[in-house]
Amino acid sequence: MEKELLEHGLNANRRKFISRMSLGLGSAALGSLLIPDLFGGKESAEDAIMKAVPHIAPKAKRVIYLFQNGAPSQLETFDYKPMLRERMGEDLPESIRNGQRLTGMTAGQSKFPLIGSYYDFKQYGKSGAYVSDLFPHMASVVDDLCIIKSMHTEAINHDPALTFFQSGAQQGNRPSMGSWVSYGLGTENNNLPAFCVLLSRGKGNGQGVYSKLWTNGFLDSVHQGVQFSSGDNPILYLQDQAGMDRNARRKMLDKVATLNNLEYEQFGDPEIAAKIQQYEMAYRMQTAVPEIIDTSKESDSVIKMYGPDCLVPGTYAANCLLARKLSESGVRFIQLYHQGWDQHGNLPNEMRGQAKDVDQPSAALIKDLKQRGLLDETLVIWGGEFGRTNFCQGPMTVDNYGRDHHPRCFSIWMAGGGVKPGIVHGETDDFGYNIIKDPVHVHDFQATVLNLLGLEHEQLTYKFQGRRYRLTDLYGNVVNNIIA
Amino acid sequence: MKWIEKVASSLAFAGLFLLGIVFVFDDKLQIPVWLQVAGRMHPLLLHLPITLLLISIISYFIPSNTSTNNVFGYVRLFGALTAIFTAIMGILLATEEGTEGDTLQWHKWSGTAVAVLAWILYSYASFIQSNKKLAISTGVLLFMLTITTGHFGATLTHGEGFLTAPLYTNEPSTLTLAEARIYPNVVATIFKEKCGTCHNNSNKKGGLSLSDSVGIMTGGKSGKALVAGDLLKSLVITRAHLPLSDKKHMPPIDKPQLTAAELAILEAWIQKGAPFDTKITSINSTDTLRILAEEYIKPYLAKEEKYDFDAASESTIDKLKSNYRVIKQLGEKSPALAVSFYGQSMYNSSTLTELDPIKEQIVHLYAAKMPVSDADVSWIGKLPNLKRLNVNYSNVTDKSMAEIASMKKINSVSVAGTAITMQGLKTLLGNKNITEIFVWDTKIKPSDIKAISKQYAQIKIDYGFDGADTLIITLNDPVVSLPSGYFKENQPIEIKHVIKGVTIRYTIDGTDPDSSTSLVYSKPIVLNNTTTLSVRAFKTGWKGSATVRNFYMKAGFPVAGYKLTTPPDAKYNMNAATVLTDLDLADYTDFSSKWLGYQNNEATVVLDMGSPVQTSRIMVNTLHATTSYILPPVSLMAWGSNDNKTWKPLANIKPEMPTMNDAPFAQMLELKYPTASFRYLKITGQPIKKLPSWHQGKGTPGWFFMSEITVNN
Repeated sequence: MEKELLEHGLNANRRKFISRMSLGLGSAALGSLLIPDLFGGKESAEDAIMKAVPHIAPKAKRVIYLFQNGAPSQLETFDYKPMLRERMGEDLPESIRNGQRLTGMTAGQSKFPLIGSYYDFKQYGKSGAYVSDLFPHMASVVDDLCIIKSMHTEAINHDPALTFFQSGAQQGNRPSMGSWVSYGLGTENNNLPAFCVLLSRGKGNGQGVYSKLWTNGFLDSVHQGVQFSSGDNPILYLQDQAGMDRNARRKMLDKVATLNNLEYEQFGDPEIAAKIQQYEMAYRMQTAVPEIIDTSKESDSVIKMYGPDCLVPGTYAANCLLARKLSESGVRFIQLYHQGWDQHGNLPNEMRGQAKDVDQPSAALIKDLKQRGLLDETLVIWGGEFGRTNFCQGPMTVDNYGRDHHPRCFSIWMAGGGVKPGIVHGETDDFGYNIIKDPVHVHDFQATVLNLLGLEHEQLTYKFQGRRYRLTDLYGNVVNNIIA
Repeated sequence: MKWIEKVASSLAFAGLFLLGIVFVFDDKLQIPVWLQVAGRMHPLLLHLPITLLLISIISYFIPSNTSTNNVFGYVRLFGALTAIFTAIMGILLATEEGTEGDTLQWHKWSGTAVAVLAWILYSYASFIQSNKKLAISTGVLLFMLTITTGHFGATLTHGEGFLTAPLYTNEPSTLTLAEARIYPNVVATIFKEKCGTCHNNSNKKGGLSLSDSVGIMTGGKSGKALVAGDLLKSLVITRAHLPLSDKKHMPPIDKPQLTAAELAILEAWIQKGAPFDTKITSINSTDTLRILAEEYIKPYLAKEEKYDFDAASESTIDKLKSNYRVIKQLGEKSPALAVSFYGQSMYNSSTLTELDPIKEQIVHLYAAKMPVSDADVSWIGKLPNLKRLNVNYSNVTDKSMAEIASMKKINSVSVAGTAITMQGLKTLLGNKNITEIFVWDTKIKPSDIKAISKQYAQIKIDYGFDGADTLIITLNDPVVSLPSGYFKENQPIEIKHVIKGVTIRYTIDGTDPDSSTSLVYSKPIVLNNTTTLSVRAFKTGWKGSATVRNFYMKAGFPVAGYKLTTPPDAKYNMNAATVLTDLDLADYTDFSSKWLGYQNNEATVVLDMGSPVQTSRIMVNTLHATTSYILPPVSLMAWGSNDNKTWKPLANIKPEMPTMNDAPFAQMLELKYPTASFRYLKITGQPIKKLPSWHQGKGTPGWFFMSEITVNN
């Protein structure tokens, strides 16, 4: 009897438990509706990104980033500070320097004598923006430019500053901007990589560039920047060996794909599928790339616009022309680096040479995109990794001086791709040392570029080692005032 | 317990009369301060009757017995009692705060009705319960009335649409800056967000509604809310400027405040005369109001263009995608598609027509450099929603332009590098929706476009940069295949230039080539003698390049070996054993590694030709670098010998000395003598003992540097 009672009790409990359970499940299901990620029922941010569709309708489809590696002085380019000439040689007031840390190169200096630009400035265009005499061609397109005079960064030396600009962090294990864009938007032309890198160097004092600047970091390796070198073989290991015929290559790829597919069916590793696709893409690139690097069909007018050096492989002018051709063919993100902007000394002389290298081709790129109806959808960016001091480093004369690194303010410009044309954003003080209006941090810049491409910087994330990462780290505000 | 019921029901009955009085005479009420406090407890108390009355309704739906009846009796009683006093307090509160408007009236009526009904239901409970139908219908009535009253009350405190707002916020905006107006889109938004809860047409606290122009201009009990052009007389402004702690400060301290930008907009708007129908873009672009308004409205503007067609199915799109035909959604939620073509050889007409299933969704079409024909354009012309078309460098001609111009939605057309002419352009201009046309690199002359640009001022016609004939710039340097240096026999030299169609001219006498008389390069030049080759490139429409000047030295007789009888200075003796005969024409930049330097002693070198050789000249490469204290030798001499013991003087020169500092260069000095046969040749060079008076190191010894020595006949 006792046993039966117990049994009954247990049964009752079981019944009760099961019916309660169904209620519990029901409410859990209800609760899960409020937590989209809980059961993976709804798509996560990453899933949406995998579709490679922008979050919002983009203003820019592609980016050409003309990185001026070494940090050109803002005081000889776009930030006109006549007072520095008037007060040449006077010591920088401590109230202005205000505890700013110095590099090891000027930390030992007992004086910080102010030095004005050797080059004169004039106002150009409808916007009346000031441009130094070193850049007559850029001055001619100033009404297409959005000049930001209030950039600032956290780093004070080249490597961390460059890495910060490219990846949003100074340490350098994060994906580069171009990789993030490739990850977020995918490639537009399936026959070319989404992220291409072009290098050139001027005669000025230079700083190295290295492949970590265009790394995919923890993102899939398809998002890595592909470096184009100058010469007959712009992409290493792309060309078939001499004597190999294209049909043979096709057959070989088919056979390899069959083997890879067997492996894929057995293990289901997505990396295998990716590998097959990358082989196919390389095969298509074999025909697409020679078509693009061929400059023989460029008209005289175009050559004159970029300057005749655009036909000399490996020059900045040639890279600008190539960048236009790649962009026109749907490459999402093209990163140029022009070295030689690190003027610790001999600044007026070296900057003249550097300006001669980049002025005409940079302006030509804008004109060229414009006349093809592509500037609207292509964002062009020109700028370095930080600014330079308003005081002299080393010996000083009117026509020979140097400037050290300065993170508190510097100038860059953007054009096309949904930024307001013909405006100047931000302002620095009369010393050209501190920002007094509308500061734009590197993360703000990155958030803005992503926004122009239709990506919300807070949503473009990738989960790695237990946390989500984004290009703008934990910061960044879109600079709405420069968006058209 | 009876006495509680007695007291409560008496109180309720009394309250009912009081309610009747305040309800009828609410506009004549003068409320003492202590009663104001009671009035303000309305929002606190109101939750009691709602709960009690809703519970009491249950009793009509369940079978009654004594014990439940008892409980429900109390619930009904206290429900009625609290409902009556809540209603009284509500009327006091409304009167004290001067609230007006439709919502208030409805709230007042329904609230009073709830109180009265609750009382009736309590008093006649047993009668109502005895009739099932009556019980249910009165229960439903009370329920509806309670909920309605509650909703009106919530509208008064939280604002219109508070309840349903979350359902509407995700609706994307379609407002564009061009059509935004200063009042409805900016000022009205501020009023609605920051004042609208208490000052709208259905809830006019202080008699003021800020919902429309009538309410705004009428003002409230305290006076004019707004006097156009006069900030000091406009209460909306002066009240906002009162200190936050002031009782009259608006919005009230516990409500969201106006931001500085919002207040600035209101002030600028009032100073402008408070226009109600002005477009933002019609205000001067430097006007404060316009700048502030544009900034304010930005988040409210349409982020995405709205399209009135449906999205194509994902599977349809996926089927049409290929490596050479890229189809992309414009945005995550947009039905619009952008189609791009890549790879000329992969394009044919069916590449286009296969897109029929997504005809409606295509808004951007990019087919630059594809062999798009006029026939293809007749398909493109039927895309109902195409806005942007790029067929640069395709095969389209004027014939296509009528088709393009007939498209209803098109606004951007790129036909750069096509066969379009002025006639085609004019056809395009017939479409008033088109805002930009790109005709760069076509037969259309910029001057023709300038001629019509006034007529079509609103359309951007971009003819781009045409500098082929007008911009005269300098050609870059020709590239010569061999750098300056030694050669042995029949050395071919190739000259190239990166630009097609240049003429390369050269001379071999050291003069600059000119564009008309100098030799024209056509095939590789073969050198046989020591030559200075000067090359320039020319092309019509360009300035000739700079001269590229290379010096080619024919190698002399082979030298078996040499011995330095006097050692060079220890600082400049690198590669001393080979540097004089290594066939490397060193230039001045390498003076630490490719030159031998002498300062304190004379340079003496003996060359061994291996066997007697007939010679007549010896060339010595010397360095001229005044700022580095390096000058030509005071004297340079040559001797000949066959036994390396007895020497016959052959030549002696005294090179010209500089008279001022100049740029450094390498200088080939020549010792000439009548042809003679010797196995050994000796050369001596004398460094200057005292630098001349113009030199910064005057009086101190100078340097003599030498490199390659060449022996010839």
